Amino acid sequence: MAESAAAEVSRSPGRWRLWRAVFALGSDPQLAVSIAMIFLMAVAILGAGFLTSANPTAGDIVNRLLPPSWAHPFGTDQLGRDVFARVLFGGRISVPAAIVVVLFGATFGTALGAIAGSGGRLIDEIVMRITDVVLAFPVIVLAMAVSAALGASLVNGVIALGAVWWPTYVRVCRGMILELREKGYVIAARSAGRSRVAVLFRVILPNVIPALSVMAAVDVGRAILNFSILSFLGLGVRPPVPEWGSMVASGVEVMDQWWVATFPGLAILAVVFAFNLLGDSVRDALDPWVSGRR
Amino acid sequence: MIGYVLRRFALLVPILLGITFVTFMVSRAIPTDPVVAALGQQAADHPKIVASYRERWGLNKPLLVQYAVYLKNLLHGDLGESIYTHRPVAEDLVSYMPATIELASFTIVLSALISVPLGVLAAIKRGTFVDLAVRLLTLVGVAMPIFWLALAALELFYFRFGIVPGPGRLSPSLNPPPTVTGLYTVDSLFAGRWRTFYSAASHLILPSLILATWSAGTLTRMTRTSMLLVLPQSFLNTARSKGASETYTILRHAIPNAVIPVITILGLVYGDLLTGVILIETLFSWPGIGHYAYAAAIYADFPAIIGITLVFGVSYSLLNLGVDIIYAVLDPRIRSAMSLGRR
Repeated sequence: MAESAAAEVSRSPGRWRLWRAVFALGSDPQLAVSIAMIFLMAVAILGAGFLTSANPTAGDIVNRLLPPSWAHPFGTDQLGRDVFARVLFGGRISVPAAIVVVLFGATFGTALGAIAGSGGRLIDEIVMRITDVVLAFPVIVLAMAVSAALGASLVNGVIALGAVWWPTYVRVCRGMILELREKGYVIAARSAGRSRVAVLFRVILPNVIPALSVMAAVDVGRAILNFSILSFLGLGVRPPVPEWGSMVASGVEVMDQWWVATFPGLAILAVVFAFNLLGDSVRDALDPWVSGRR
Repeated sequence: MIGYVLRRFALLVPILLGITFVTFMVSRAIPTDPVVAALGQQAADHPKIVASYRERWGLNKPLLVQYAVYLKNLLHGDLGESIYTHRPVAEDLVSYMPATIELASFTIVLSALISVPLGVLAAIKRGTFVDLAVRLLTLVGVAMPIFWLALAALELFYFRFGIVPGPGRLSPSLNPPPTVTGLYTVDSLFAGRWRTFYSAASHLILPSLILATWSAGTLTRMTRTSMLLVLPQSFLNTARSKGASETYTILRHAIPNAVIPVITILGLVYGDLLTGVILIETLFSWPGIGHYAYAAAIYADFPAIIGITLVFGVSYSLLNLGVDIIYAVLDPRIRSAMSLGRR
């Protein structure tokens, strides 16, 4: 059973957790496959310099648009740059960018959710109405507006997505806190005379943050996809920086040379798929809390 | 029930105010002079034109007053003029809307036709190879960079094999049907023009199939989960013990009950659909809101961007409201919970 193994790990305490996790990987092929995929891709991206000697940004006009071969496993693009090297080094743009977006969204969203969930009714109402407003924005449209206002670049793309990435975390965090507030040990801590802030930081948040971290880890896939969309539309990273979305966009000009657009697209699909697979395995472990949102 | 609906409508007001406020402030944060951006350098050299433009949009007043002026104009249906098309934004939105509605509706119907059978099949065959295949397929679908899929599909099915028509809503040799609804497939039927109908429908197939990738993935997963919750319930055994065949029990009793909760994630699907519409309309030269949004973003056309976010925000909020009401109507348990007070 894929789901129960992950659930068991999240429940098991202290020093047994690592052993349980290793054991769970053996009994849960889906979880194992997704973690292996993410691990392999992380190694390929971090060790890009060892896997290829080609320079991802150096053009070689004589060898432009070569089909895949041993020398160039993914072929070369219009400027003779090695597509394999660009896909590997491109991961150093797309993946960290997505992680920053998610980290910001999760931190900011969790903080707002904690304020809404443990503050008074008025504060709660105000925070949630603001969240509703941002939630009513289509992510990409607002991100497009922000990067249109600031100009297209890597940093602005990250700012644009980060600005709209937090509302889900507010909702989930607040929902979990509202649920926890009724739990016996929280009531006990409060009646033992601990201040509201102490209860929030010492008792409630330690119970909320693990689940939110898992949610954030899984969210990286979605952020990579959205970031690549922004770049594909010309509103994120600009050439010549290798980024998967903008590489697909530049492949549009040379569709007869299929490899130029195909491999960066496959890279997006593979990474996002791996994160989704991971998310699918751990979802049930989260469910008792996540179901707390509306 | 009516009280609930009214209260939800009242909640729309602060959301819409917030949407216009945020976009308005973003638009004022850009370094370019809005007057030059809107009028062009030539007109901006004439002090009279500039003065009348500043007057109309209150540009010489504080930011909050400018926002109030914008709201006042908005209530009169004046969203300003698009910097890119030089037409009133409201007019642009109305003329681009039908193409998007046609594409999106076709996509939703298509995703429902794909995902309900697939989700039900996976649930019935739980744990088998079929289930695994369906689940992997949906995970791939949700992870798909659809702009990439669209490029590949256009290259293969249009340029190489020629089995689908190319970009656009109609063959260039045909005139659009007389406008009734603005949906070419419907209008051509009204006019009795079969060739136009055939052309419009065949132009819809490829873009909506690709657009359906995300929504079909999400809906299939939801249908499967929902079906798994329904299948062990005892009312199905009641139906079986009354002599109903297994097929009849599934079709008549299990599926209708499994589909109801799926409605609640339409809001989520809608968000994906909007993102997809921008990509697919741009790639397929589909003259809809998505294409307009892309052009607006590229040219930093803020009057248009505010108009578009407003349309998207309103439709998102109305959709969520509609989903909640439909859900309450279909499920008596929610209805009674709602009349007891706040959810």
